[in-house]
Amino acid sequence: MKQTLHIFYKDVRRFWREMAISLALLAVLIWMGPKQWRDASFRASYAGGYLIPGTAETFLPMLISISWWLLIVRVVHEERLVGDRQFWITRPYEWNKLLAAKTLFVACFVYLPLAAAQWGLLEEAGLHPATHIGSLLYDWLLITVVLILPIAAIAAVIRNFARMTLTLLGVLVALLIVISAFSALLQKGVVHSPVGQTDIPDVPLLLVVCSTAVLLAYARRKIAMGRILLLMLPVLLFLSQEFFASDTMVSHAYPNSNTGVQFTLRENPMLLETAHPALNRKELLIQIPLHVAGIMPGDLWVSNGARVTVESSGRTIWNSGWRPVSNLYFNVEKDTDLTFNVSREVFYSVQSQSVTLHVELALDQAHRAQVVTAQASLGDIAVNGLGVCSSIINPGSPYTVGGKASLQIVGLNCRSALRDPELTYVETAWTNGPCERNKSVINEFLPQPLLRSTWIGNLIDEPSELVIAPTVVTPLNFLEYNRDEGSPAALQICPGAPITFTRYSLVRQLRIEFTIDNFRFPSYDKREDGER
Amino acid sequence: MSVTIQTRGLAKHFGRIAALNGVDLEVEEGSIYALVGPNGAGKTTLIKLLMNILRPSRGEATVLGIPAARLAGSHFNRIGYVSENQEIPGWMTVAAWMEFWRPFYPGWDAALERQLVAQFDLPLKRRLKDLSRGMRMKAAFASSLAYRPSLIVLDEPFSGLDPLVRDELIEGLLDRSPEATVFLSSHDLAEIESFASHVGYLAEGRMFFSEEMTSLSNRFRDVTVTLDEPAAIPADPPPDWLQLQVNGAVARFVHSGYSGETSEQTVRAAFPAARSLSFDAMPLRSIFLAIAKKERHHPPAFLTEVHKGRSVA
Repeated sequence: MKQTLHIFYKDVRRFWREMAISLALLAVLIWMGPKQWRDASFRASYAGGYLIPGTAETFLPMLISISWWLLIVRVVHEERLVGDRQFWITRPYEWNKLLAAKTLFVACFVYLPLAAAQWGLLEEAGLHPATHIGSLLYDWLLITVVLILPIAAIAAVIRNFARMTLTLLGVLVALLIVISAFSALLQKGVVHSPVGQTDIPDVPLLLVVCSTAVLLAYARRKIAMGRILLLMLPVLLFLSQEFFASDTMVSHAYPNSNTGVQFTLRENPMLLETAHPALNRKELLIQIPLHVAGIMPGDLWVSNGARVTVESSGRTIWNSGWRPVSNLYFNVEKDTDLTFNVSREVFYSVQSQSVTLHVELALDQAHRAQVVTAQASLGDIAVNGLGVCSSIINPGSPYTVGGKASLQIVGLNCRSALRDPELTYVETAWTNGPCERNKSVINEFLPQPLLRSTWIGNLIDEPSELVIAPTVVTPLNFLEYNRDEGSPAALQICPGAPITFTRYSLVRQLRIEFTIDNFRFPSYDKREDGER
Repeated sequence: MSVTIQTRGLAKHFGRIAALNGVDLEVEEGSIYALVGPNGAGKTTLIKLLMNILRPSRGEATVLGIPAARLAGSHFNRIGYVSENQEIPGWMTVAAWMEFWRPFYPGWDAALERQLVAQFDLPLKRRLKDLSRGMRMKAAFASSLAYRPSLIVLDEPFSGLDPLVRDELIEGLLDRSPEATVFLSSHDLAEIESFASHVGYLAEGRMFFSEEMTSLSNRFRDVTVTLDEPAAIPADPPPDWLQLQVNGAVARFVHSGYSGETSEQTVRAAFPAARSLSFDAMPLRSIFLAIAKKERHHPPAFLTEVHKGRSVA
């Protein structure tokens, strides 16, 4: 412990500038964070029904990450592990104490300030940090695995800061190439988006590989092995992603279950739309008009993926594999469309005959967990289980009260702790006119309220996203679907108007199967190819 | 005498290049062992293997009875290592540098530290990066001697230093030598000749000989044979006669296996017309030159002799 502290104090003396930069950026985050939901600057960014994310949401976390990168790389390289000329390698340094000193440094100057900043910001946002300790811990785990450990691991196997910078640039360029290549392959239909996957890379894999590289470097100074491991990491991540996205794993994640929900083909065959070319042009887009029944009141079903098998005379002609689809079913009965891509070859081979479609859907079942009704106000509205919502005020209100411009509520933005809120249905009444009767005008017409609703959040069952700014601000875009109702500039939510928040919680994930007999593929006009 | 450093068949390859090729070495406790050889001979590689900075491709080494590959942490409480090209944290002042190391060593002698600082005239308030090369070396020496290590390992410690600094460092080193084994490398024979007790010659990754300085000096003689009349070079001279030349009535060579009367008898037998013989002691530099020249002509025979630990021919 004595040696650990001794090395730690030395590093503190050495890296006060880097520490100061990192702490200053966190201080700016603390200062700017609340502005997102309070200050006029954020209101001004509201334009045409859309909210533009603030600086604190985008640039500051990036700058803070860069400052951590600088801090960690410098502190690791102070006792460089690569090379044979370092001052410390022939001194009585114990590797575990050295590693402990570096860990202590990162804990004190990355995690502790981050924890304090996040706690303060949550408190300031009215989100009661004490109730989110689990989420905070999970967020720190994600930050560790996705950010801190990879930086430390790369720093441990790279000789100096210049090479580290070049490596980082190389990694970014490689990442861009891989993403571009993947997008191109996605568009061409060579690969498909995974079903029911989150954006966070494989946490255990990253944890194991990066920790091993760090330990090998510190305990044995086996740099080459660490480098090989880190070079293999992208391949391992890709393979892992492919493994979990494989049909077998999707089927395993969504076990077959009898739910009482029935999907049937809508009876009117005229409903079958013509096929359209898919984005990748190799395939055609087929819509199956379905009717959903048997949804229990208070239940909500979200389809994440579908697998369609085409059979003819008991023989399987084609199987789509699991492909992502996104639909929400929450009424007792609902008409819906299932869209899937089929190759032109298959399409033309079955177009003239009736086939049997065997459809499997990967579904999330959610249940209404809570209904909260609040009244619109100029202040904050605390919504249990969701967070806190603030009214968005239009500074250029067209309405006046007593000769002065009245405050016009043009939307809500809700802030939740560390992740998007749980899936919530929000409904409120909008007014296309002034909120108060003008006493000087007799029999003034007050417009009828318009009920408008929107969904926010998701059903992802993870306690936190990977965030540095702990307050996730979600704007509620009620208006974007309602432009035909008149000028959006005239619409407003009047103070006192009821706002209903219906929150849904994930119950289980399951798979249902149904069969459509005597299905005929729709027609396809080849001229559409030329139009694109 | 116990052995402080021992290697057996120690080899190190960097790709296809063999930096060390099966080195056997023994360094006795209390000795001042100078490992000499030209640049690129493998001296630094050997020292780095001994200090577990590099890992051997083959063979084994022990340092203070500990396998070199396991040297780590507290083992270095007993070892002081200074290298000419060692990186040091330039941002530290000399005082901070000494202060930093103090808690690492249970045997740190504060009085000795003060003595070394004074002896080397170290400017405590100046940053290491602002010091001259000689001063930086002195700071490294002071921080490696102040805990009274049992083994002091120095890799080209005097390279590029002015004579004054070199003498100061040697003085500091000799002050510690009664209580420590010193193992140092150098490519400059003159540097070590005055104080080394043992010497080893490494070239092209191979150890050509390793022995006590006195034994080496006693073994080598510059032999001059004055003959009655001009003679030819003997048909089959002994293998330990190096650089044999006959100019008219004078024959000269380096005897690498001199052993007093027996050697004189052998010379007389080879030159029956010898009028007088002289066997002059040789400076270390001349000994090494003779070895180097011989090696260039007949490396295999030379090697064979060296590995038997006898004379060099």
